[in-house]
Amino acid sequence: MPVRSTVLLVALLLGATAHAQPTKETHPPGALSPENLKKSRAAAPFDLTGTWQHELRGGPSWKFVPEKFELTPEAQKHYDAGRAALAEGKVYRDDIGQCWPPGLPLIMTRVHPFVLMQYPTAIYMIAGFENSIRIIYLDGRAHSDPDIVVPSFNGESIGRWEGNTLVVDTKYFPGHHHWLDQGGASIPASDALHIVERMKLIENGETIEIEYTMTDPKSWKGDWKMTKRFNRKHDVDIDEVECTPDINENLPGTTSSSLIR
Amino acid sequence: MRSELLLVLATAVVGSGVAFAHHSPVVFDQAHKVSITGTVTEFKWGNPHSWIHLDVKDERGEVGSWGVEMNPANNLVREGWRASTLKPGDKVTIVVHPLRNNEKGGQFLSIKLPDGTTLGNEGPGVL
Repeated sequence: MPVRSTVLLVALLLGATAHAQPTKETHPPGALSPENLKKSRAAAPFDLTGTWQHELRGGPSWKFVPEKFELTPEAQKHYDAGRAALAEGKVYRDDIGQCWPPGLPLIMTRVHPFVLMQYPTAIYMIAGFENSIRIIYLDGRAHSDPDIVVPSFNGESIGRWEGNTLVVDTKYFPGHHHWLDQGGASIPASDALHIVERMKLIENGETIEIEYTMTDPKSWKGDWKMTKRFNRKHDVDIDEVECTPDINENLPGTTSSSLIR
Repeated sequence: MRSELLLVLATAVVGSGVAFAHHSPVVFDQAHKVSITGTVTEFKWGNPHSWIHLDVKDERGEVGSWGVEMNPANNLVREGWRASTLKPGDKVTIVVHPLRNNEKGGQFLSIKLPDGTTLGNEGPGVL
């Protein structure tokens, strides 16, 4: 290495060490670390481990849009565009159809089943729909620092037990390509979406009932409340399901010229 | 008139079919069914969709390629389907909910296989 380059490299290194070092984040024990799992905790009132599927018939709709709502001007633009498309037999921004994740809450009610695996410290969900993963932490941690967390379509879920109810608080969504409906009411979920779920295990352990309260001040006014039910599936396994370009390019439902992107 | 080969069937919205589409079904006309007869060029067995491509002759004798999308394989297998159920060259008749815009495509409802066996049902999708 030439002398001049060596001198420059040493100077750069000395300069770098002269600056203050950023604070390193220390991560608490992972949800599945032995030390976390063996901590003393009250027994969970119920175990959601199993394969579940939203009621396909006779129950509440799979959609998450209430009958009456008031949108913000920005969300109203999307809603109006969606209604205009529907009137022409077209579909406005079906991002899920183009392989974007459905995200919470729609991931819970798409027709594919999902698996829940419950540990004392967390519940892991893998959806049969695009194998979307959702984690509900139960180990007492708080929501992450917003300056650290990476927004995601299923958000960050923190759960706590209130009697016989699991209360799950979820936030930190990406704020793009994320909707409260698909092919119907085109209402966007913003990065301000906040979802609280109150989960109960009923019908002798055969049904999960979830009361949803959803706020999103960037998209609608007030809070939306609705209840969904999910039935245990005894003879179903989920499969690996990927939304891939080679599938989409062969489907009339994802290539039709009636899709407005 | 879509084609002389297409028998347009007025559809009562009854039945038990469940569509497991990963996309919006709005592009398909859920209120109508059409029957198409043609020759299979490709059958893809997969998740989240299986599909059939088939060549269908229109009223002018011109052959056009139709795309028929189906439920995922993990659901079709419970209805009697297998990856070997169809192969290129098979002559079949398929009933679909057609695309609203008259493009050559539809959502699978039922099929009559070369040996006369019928699979599927003609109920509407739920999505």
